[in-house]
Amino acid sequence: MHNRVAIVGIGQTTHSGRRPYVNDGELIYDAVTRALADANLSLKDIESVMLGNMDLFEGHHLNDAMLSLYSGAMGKPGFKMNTGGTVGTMLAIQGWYHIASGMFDTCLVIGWEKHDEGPVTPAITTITDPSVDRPFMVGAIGGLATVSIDYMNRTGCKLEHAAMARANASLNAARNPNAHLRDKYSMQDVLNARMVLYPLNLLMCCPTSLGACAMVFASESKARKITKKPVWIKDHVTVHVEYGGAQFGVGEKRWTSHMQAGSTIFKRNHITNPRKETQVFEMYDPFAFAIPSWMEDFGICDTGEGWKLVEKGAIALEGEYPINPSGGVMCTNAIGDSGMLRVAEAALQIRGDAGEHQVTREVKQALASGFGGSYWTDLLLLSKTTD
Amino acid sequence: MANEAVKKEPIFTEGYVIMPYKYSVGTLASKFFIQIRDSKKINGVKCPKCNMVIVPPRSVCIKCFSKIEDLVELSGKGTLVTYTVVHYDSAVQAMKPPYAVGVIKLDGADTAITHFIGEVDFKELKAGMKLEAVFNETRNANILDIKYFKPVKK
Amino acid sequence: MKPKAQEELIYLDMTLKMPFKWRTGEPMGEFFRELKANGKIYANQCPKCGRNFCPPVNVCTRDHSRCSAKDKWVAVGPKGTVLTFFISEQSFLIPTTGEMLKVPFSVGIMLLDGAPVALQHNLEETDPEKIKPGMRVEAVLKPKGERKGNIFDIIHFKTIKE
Repeated sequence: MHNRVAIVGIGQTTHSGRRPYVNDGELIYDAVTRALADANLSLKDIESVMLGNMDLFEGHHLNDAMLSLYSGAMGKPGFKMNTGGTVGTMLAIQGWYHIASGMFDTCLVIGWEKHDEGPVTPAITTITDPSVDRPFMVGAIGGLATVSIDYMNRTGCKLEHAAMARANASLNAARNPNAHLRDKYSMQDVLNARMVLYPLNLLMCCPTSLGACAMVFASESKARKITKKPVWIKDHVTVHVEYGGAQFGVGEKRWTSHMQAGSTIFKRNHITNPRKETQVFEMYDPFAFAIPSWMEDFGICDTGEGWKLVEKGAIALEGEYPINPSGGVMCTNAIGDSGMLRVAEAALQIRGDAGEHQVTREVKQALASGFGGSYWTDLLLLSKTTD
Repeated sequence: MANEAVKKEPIFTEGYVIMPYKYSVGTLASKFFIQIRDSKKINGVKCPKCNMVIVPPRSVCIKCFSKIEDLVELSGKGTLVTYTVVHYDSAVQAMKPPYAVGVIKLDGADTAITHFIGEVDFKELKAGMKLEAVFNETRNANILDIKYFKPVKK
Repeated sequence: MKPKAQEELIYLDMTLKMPFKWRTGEPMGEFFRELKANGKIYANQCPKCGRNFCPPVNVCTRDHSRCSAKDKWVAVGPKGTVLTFFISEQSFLIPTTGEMLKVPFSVGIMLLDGAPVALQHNLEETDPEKIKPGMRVEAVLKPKGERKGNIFDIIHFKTIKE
């Protein structure tokens, strides 16, 4: 048994490739003040603070120490999270536990990254075993390139379908003033980009952005006093998995963390038709094949159907099942922030506050996922009401 | 066979973690460092709401969480709060040991900064000593443009 | 607080350079000793679930059973089948050595004959048109005198016709 948890305040900075006029702390402070303002609260109303990013990207070990002033954590309890792309979703889950336990009524969760300061790809290579995996690690995208080839081989998906998904993301990002890459692309524009990591070209890999996102969570009794539009975190699941070739379930039945996450959440919440019973999915998509292949793995559609739905335009803003109306990770990727933006953007859709990138139908339930260099999956189910 | 293996010489993978960084200090701190480099002046930053003077610079007030944008010039003199003397060698050190490091409350500021103490006999180090900044001839807009703090001669 | 166009911004250029000596543990140490001395690639098998590991492990990563190498230690390869691959055209600074990655850099995940077990390593072939999942490959090792007991004792996997 646990208490209900609502998102009552959302704040995000704009995202860009470089921002040398602020330092790490100032970036976080920007998001924190926006989230507090959105909730109409001040720092003294916050009982605990959760902060996260990927330390090695900025070159600071245990950077929570130098950031406790800017995050608002001074003198308060809280957690620090460093789990790759899942930082943002894990922070939301940590915030959920704080409030669901009944030990806190409010908390602040902050995800951020300032990629303009350090070497991202070299830093990511250090997540691997140095004796056998590190020499072959070419950023997180290397493993995802192998996943892409495997997906095309298994289901008949073509490079064009990944390009379609990327083109669709660009149209959404063009309507999102906080996104990083906002140029509109056609499928052909995407196919013409220069090759980076076969089969993924430059536009099929996620960018490195910088930015921060913060949210205020509250217990049910407080939430209804703070805002008229609380967004409920109804359920969540985390599935851990190891890095490496082991993901391919060599010679055995294919299993991925996404498959387990999707089936767990849908079963627990009696969802038998996810595309009808949820109305939008902010999916963590670090590469252009993510949407078509992971739609299948999550159980949004059957195996082999994901790329067909992309081809039909089903994932567009006005489509049958919009995915990443914000533009997703393909258009904005500040790693510690990316997972949090999925939850924040899904919540904005439920509130009806997503502005120009608001989906056309009423959103009663939304999904948000996280994934990252640690190769885990987080999946959250958000809801407009408590039933 | 694996059990016999543990008696053999262990195998290691040798390598480095080499990574270049370029840290942005931010607009406010840039002004602080430029003042040191170009004018040999140490500034504090002042909170517009509660008037707290903070050095080294922070763009968020420690006391009231307000945004700070203004610098205020300090004299470069201060009082030693506490100190230590480093005697051991380490891979990451800006000075060769032995050297003294102190926490120094600058006149006019509400906070203290950490820096080296030079031109001093370690035996004479005492909390409450008056110190003043000594600057390097060549300066690069970083905290080591201040060479150390030395005791003020009476 | 965006600065005016002419305001100077200060950066700190810092390079972290930290030396490490990572112990492989056992039986991975034995894997490297066999590779160096005899040019053989070994895997072991979990006695409970039958999953194969290359390099060999002490504890099954699926069910935490203790993996003994005594009777479940088997030489695999040197031939295998490509499961999937990637080819990088983008160079970057390799943190382990401080050198830039030589591109094109081709990496395959190979299912080695005998276990079956997947191993990640370089492919000799760097033309994506010439690599297909299902393709047969064979490990190419350094001559014995040059092997050091690390993963580079295998130079790469070359394409073979079978």
